[in-house]
Amino acid sequence: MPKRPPITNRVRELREAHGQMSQSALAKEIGVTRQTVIAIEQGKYSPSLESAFRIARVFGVGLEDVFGWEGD
Amino acid sequence: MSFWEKGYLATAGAVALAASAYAYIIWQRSVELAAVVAPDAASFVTYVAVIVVLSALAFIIIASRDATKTGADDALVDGYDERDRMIGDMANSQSHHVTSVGVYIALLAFIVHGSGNVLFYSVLGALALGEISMCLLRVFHYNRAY
Repeated sequence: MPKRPPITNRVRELREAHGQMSQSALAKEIGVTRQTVIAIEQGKYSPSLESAFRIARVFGVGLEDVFGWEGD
Repeated sequence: MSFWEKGYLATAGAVALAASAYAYIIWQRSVELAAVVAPDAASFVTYVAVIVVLSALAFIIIASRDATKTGADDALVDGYDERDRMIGDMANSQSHHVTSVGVYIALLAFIVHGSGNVLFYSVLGALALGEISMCLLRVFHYNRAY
């Protein structure tokens, strides 16, 4: 069983709260594929620092409001 | 399954099919000749062309079916991003080991048999195995967590 990255995120929650934004729309905004957005939301992929900042900027929140460390 | 996963699975299938067919043809000719037949340009070029054409066709068919199924917008978004690059780099690095081992075995076979024909087909086999492993490793990594 592959080990998941120890980074949690609220991407799906924020996306749905942001006018029910689609995964495709978010992907276009941050410059990644829809598959990558799916992987991020499922906790299967930790985005690069740049993509993490882009996600936070799309939702108008800070980085720590989107991402967290497992167990915190 | 993403566009790239389907595409690489199809490519692995195309290489496996072409390599198997080429190996069978060479084996049959060698049996008739009672010796390992010398490689010829026409067969080799046909082998490479079949792989290229089958892979390209597979990607085109998958892309058009994905666009129809999910809508044009989704198809545009499925490009090649940081995650694809990371997975591609890992798969390429790991598949190079498969190719290297295959080439070393081919060189050993040449030392043992002294046949340039055996060396040629062994190296070709190593390259095919490397390509197949690269494709399968990409699909494997797409389903892992990073």
